[in-house]
This record gives sequence, C-alpha cells and structure tokens, in this order.
Amino acid sequence: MNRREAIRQLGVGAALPVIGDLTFAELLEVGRGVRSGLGRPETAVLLALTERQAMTVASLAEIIIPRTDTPGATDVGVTTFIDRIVAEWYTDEERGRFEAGLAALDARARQLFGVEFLQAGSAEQEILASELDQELQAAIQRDRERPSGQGSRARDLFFYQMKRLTLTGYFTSEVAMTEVLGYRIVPGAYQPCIPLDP
Amino acid sequence: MSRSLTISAAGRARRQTHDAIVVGSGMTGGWAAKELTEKGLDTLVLEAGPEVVPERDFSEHVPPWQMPYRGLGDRAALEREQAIQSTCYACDELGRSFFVNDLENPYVQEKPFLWIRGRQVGGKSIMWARHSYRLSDLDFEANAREGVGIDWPIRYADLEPWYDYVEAFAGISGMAEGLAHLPDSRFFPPMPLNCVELHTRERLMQAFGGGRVLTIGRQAIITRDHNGRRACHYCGPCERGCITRSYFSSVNATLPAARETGRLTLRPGSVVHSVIHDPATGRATGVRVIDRETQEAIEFFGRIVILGASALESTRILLNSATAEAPDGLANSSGALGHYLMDHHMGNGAVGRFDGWENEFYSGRRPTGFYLARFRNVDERHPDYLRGFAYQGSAYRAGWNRGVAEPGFGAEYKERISRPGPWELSFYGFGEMLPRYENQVSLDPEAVDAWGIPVLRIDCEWGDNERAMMPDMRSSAAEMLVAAGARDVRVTQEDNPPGLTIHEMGTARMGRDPATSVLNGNNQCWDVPNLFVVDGACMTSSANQNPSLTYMALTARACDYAVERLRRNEL
Ligand SMILES: Cc1cc2nc3c(=O)[nH]c(=O)nc-3n(C[C@H](O)[C@H](O)[C@H](O)COP(=O)(O)OP(=O)(O)OC[C@H]3O[C@@H](n4cnc5c(N)ncnc54)[C@H](O)[C@@H]3O)c2cc1C
Repeated sequence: MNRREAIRQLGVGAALPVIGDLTFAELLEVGRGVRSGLGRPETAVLLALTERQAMTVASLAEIIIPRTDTPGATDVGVTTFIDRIVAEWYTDEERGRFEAGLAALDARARQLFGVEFLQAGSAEQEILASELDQELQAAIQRDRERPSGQGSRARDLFFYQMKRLTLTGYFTSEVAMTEVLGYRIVPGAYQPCIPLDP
Repeated sequence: MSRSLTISAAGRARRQTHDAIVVGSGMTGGWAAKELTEKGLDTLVLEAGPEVVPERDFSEHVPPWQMPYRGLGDRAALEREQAIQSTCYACDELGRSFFVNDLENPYVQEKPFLWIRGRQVGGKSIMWARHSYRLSDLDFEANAREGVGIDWPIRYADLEPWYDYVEAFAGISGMAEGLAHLPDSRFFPPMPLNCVELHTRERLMQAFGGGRVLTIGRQAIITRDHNGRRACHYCGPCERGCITRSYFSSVNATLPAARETGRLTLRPGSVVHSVIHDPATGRATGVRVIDRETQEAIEFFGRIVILGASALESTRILLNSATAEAPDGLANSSGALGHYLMDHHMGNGAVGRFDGWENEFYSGRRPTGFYLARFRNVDERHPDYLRGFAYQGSAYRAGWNRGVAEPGFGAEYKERISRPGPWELSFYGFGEMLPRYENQVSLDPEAVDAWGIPVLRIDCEWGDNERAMMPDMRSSAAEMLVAAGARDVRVTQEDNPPGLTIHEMGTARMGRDPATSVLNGNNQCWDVPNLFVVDGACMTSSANQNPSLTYMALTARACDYAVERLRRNEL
C-alpha cells in the first residue's frame, strides 16, 4: 500500500496504520479527508515543532485518543493545536520541557527497541506510552500525599503536558464536542435529572 | 488637592447643561439613567469606557473551537495587559474584552488587593454572576446591635418597596423559602435543582431541623419572556454577554428603557476627572471630563450630579474634587471618605463525592448553582465571631478535564473520559467583612492613570473577625457533606486577598450623623445636597449577600428622592 493509498483509505475510515510512516502534511490530509468542511481549516505550517517532532506528537496524541467508532486526535487536528500552544502559549521553560520530553522519548525508544519512536511498531509505541503514563500516575499520587502548596511535580512531566494538550485539543474541537459530547451551542432548556443512557 | 485642569476653548464652547448628570453606566448608573429619564429629567450619562454593541461585542455563542486558544486565552496578552484582571475567572479568552487594561488603569496596593473593573457602557453589569439576594434587618441592625461602626440610617422597611420595584423590572428567578433573614424576592419561576442537589437539600433539612436551607441560586435571569427580553436558553457563558437580553444588565435592560424616553444622552469615552463645586452656593454645578480618545478636558453642567462609577471610582472622583474649602476631598467634612472599605471573603468551603445516580445526568448549561443561606448568628450567638456567611455551590459530574489525572490512554480510556465522571458537590463560602477605619483608599500623590488622573492607593486586609470565621466556613461545609452522605470529603481554602470577590464597598458610607458619615439615608452627600453617590460606596456594613440587588434598590430610591426634592426646588 503506497502512501496515497494509505491516506485515501484512512479518509474513508479504515483502521489506522502506523501513523509514523506518514509525513506531517500527509497526516493533516488524513484529518482533512475525514472531516472536510468541518472546523477551522488546518494548515501544514508548523509554528514551533519540527516536522519530526510534530509527527511524534501526532502519533502520541493518536495513541492517547485513537480513532474508534468516533474520530481520533489526528482526525480533528490536535497536532496543529498543540503546535500553536507550544509556540505561543507556553513559557520558554514549558516549551523547553516539552521538547526535551520528545527527545527523551526517542532516547528511550532507542534504548529499548533500537529505533526512534516513530520507527517503532505500534505495540512498542504503546509500551513506551505506558511507561510514561505509569510515571505520571505515580507523580500524581505523590502530589496527593504531600501537603498542598509545595509545587506540583506531576505537572512538570512531559506526559502530563502531552495528555493535557491532547485532551484539550480533542474535546474542544467541533467534531468531538458535537459528535462525542453532544454539545449544542444553544441547548434551549435545562433538564436537571435525565437518564444518561435512555 | 486636585491637579489643575485646563479646559480647552473648544471644551468651553460646547458647554452643555442638563437636568441631571450621571457618572457611570454600569449597574447603578444604568438604574439612575432609567429612573431619572422616566421621571422627566433630561439626563446626561458620562461613561469612561467605549460603547458596547451587543451584535458586535457579545460573544456568548462563540464555541471553543472558534477561539485561537480554545478557551485557554491569549496568555501572553493577559499577562502583559491584564495581570490583575485575569485573576478573575471571567477575564478569559473572549471575556477579557470587558475588563480594563491594567497598564492604563494602575493603582497602588499598600497590601494585596485585586481591583477588578469593567470600563465600558454597562460596566460590570455585563460580566456579573447575577446572584441577587435581599438584605434584611438582621443586616441593617447589626452595627447598632453590636456596637460596630455606625448604624445604618435605613431599615428593611425603607428598602422593601424598592426591592419589589427593581425586581419587577430586572426579573429575579428563584424559589420562595420564607426565611426572615433572607427575604424572598418577587420571583420568576426558579431554575431547577438537579437530583444530587435535591437530595442534599432534603438531607440537610432533616439533619439540621430546617436550619440549613439549600435553595436554587437567585438569579437576575428571566425564565419567561419579559418586557421584550427572552427567557434564558441555557447556553452558559453569560459573562460574555446575552444577545437575547435574558439576564439583567444595563445594556440589556435599563439603558434601553432610558433611551426609550428620548431624554437620555449617553456619552461614552468620558472619563470624569472631578466634580465642579461652587463654594458660594455649596452646590455641585457639574463635572470635569477627560475625553478618552482626544485627552481633551471638557466641562458638563447639571442641576444634580449622581455618582455611580463603582464604589472605589466614585470615591476617587470625590477625593480628586478637593478644593480650598474642602481640602480632604469633596463631601468629606466627616473625614470618613475613603475609609471603611469592605469586600466579602470567599473561597473557604468543601467538596465531596456522591455514589449512585450513575445513570442520572442533566442537559443544558444552567447559569447558576445553589445557594445555602446564612445560618450563623441568626438565632444563636457564635462564640468566635460576629455576623455570618453563605455558600454558593453545585452538584455536577466531572467532564473530560479529569482525564489528565486518570490512568490510561487508548480506546477504553477515550470511551471512559468521554462520559461524565462521578458526582461531586461543592460548597464555596462568601463571608461578611466588618467595616474598619484602617481599610482605606487615598489618592497617590504622584502616580496617574492614562488620562492623567491620580490613582488610588488601596490599603486593605482581612481582620480578626473575618479570619475567625474562615475555619468554620470549611468545617461547616464538610459537616454538611457528611450529613448528605458524601465520601472523600475535602475542605477547600483559597486565601484570596480582598478585592477578588468584586463586592468592594464602603468608603463613602451612609449614616445618621454628618460628623461620621458622607451620605445620609437617601444617598445624598451631607455637605453637597445636589450630589448623590448611589453605588456600593454608600454601604455602612457589608452583610454577606451579593450586593448588587441592594445597590439597584438604593439607586432607584435615591433617584426618587432626588427628583422629588428637585421639583420642590429643595436642592
Ligand atoms: C465576574 C463578576 C461576577 C460578579 N458576580 C456578582 C453577583 O453574582 N452578584 C452581585 O451582586 N454582584 C456581582 N458582581 C459585582 C457587580 O458586578 C457589581 O456589584 C456592580 O456591577 C456594581 O455596580 P456599579 O454601578 O457600582 O459599578 P459598575 O457596574 O462597575 O459600573 C461602573 C461604571 O462607571 C464607569 N466609570 C468608572 N470610573 C469612571 C469615571 N471616572 N468617569 C466615567 N465613568 C466611570 C465604568 O466604566 C463603569 O461602566 C460581579 C462582578 C464581576 C466582575
């Protein structure tokens, strides 16, 4: 299957192949193909991340929020959002931590699997994400046990940044808000107690 | 002493005289404009900020995906231009356009004080959270009963008809509870409590013998159509405006009514510098204005002057109106001007989780939560402190935001956090602050704002009584959560400095004696009979209720009095 073919198939909702095989521009095209006409037009111009970094971010975001019967992170252009936040919203210190986190991810991939993150297979990538998440959860637990006001550690972790940005980018996108969360701009009424699953 | 101001020839040529001048077009200025024009006065409203055009400036229906930062805000711009304003939750990505630029509007914090301001037509009535509660004689009698500060010159009976009056126009939704110390308003139909709130209400009724009443927040939002305004459609972000005019603001309600009379002249971009005072007659003759755009100084003249520029801005104008005869500020023969600054202390409470109701949810974004009425020092005397507090809060199911702290990723994780999380219920306390002479504002001898007007130095801190109340606000909230059957109960504490509650008041208090107060019981300056201060500066004590409804009632009452006196030529 060549690249064009992969993209085309993605566009009609086939299972996701290893995203690391696509360039960033192609990744964006995946999102566009699925969601043409919805949301803000995505641009392939990166503001902060290198193309490589953007592809790593896209792969990780898709691991966190994959496409299922509803769209995934890449479908709704989460990478473009993360790039903008890293470029314009993050402090220098936060940007530095984010970029160092991406580099550390590659280093860990090389150490464990002998290849960089993007070249690793999806099972290997998930193992790496699992490790990062376990470290994050342990840090969150430590934060909870410490008296407040002592400076949170969990927030300093790359995977905290990554998870927060992915969730924010995903759940504030038009597609996720309307299709996944059932958001309506004008609900018209407030119903105080209704069954969640009718 | 006021800096001398040169009025340009053009400014003099445009000399205008009106029946009444109102300074400010926010919550209180809007009411003054409506009342005075409807009573036949040709009224000039001078507003420091720009015009607000709902079709252009309201943004409540802009969804997150159309915001460049998806609601996180332009952080760099906020930090640069609105470092103080953005400590308020409503000063966010879009809402920030209704908050002042801190660089143009500096002030000096002798002690930490967050001064949150809106400078545009409508003032803070655009961003307010619309909670509206009457005061009662428990509040109006408190100072006299306890020997704190000075006695209020009015009682609930004086204000009751005016609460009725402003409520009939503004529209307050809520539920009648028959509490003597939190009198019911003339309610529009209440917004409903959700199932966990209803459960908690009932549990508290049982556990505390009716002494802890959890009711729906009383909101200046109409729940059925009224006066050409439409019933609320539950879109959520009211602080960014309301194109259907469902909630009460000057822009949505009072200014259109004033305009309708044909007697309103609204001049945006008019930064009032000082009141012009004629020592020969002892009367105010008008005000000096700096044009916001041209920086030109202009004078306007009127038979009465009403200050409604917000508590601290009105006091700032009076301080800046000092003359040889009144060297410490106009209307300040008592020396009370600038003193007895108050706010409410907020942020002490508790939160807990509720098992059950797993298949229960709600739809629509209800623009209020519940209110738990004051229960301390109502019938019994608390050993540690005077006065009391109330809580706002709500029961809700956590959204996707909780996902960062939840383990996992992938399909199962996505499915899990796309669904509502467990039920939580939180109590968030608002407590009364006692008036103290030391809590004060004064003019800085040097620093000026972007229009060359001296800035305020604010010197204010919580006192012993407030600090003694805070632990009880936490433990009482926790106690109620336990009584309602919550688990994982955690107390919460924010340690906010004064100001952030945005209920700043006092500094030109009402009283019965010209020797100890700035205003009489009709918001009229003792020293200058045709000068009125109708905003929160007039407050003699703070009570613990959100104050704006009381400001509205006081403003309507003061305007009624002023017009009557004017007719009888007694001003
Ligand atoms: C986020 C938020 C939530 C709030 N929630 C509540 C709530 O739930 N319940 C409640 O009761 N209150 C609430 N408040 C407070 C409420 O907004 C104020 O009590 C109310 O607006 C005060 O009315 P005001 O007329 O005194 O001042 P404002 O509404 O601020 O109006 C003052 C006007 O005067 C103008 N002005 C100032 N200086 C000058 C000058 N020198 N010359 C000319 N014009 C001038 C300003 O530009 C402004 O338009 C909230 C406020 C905020 C910001």
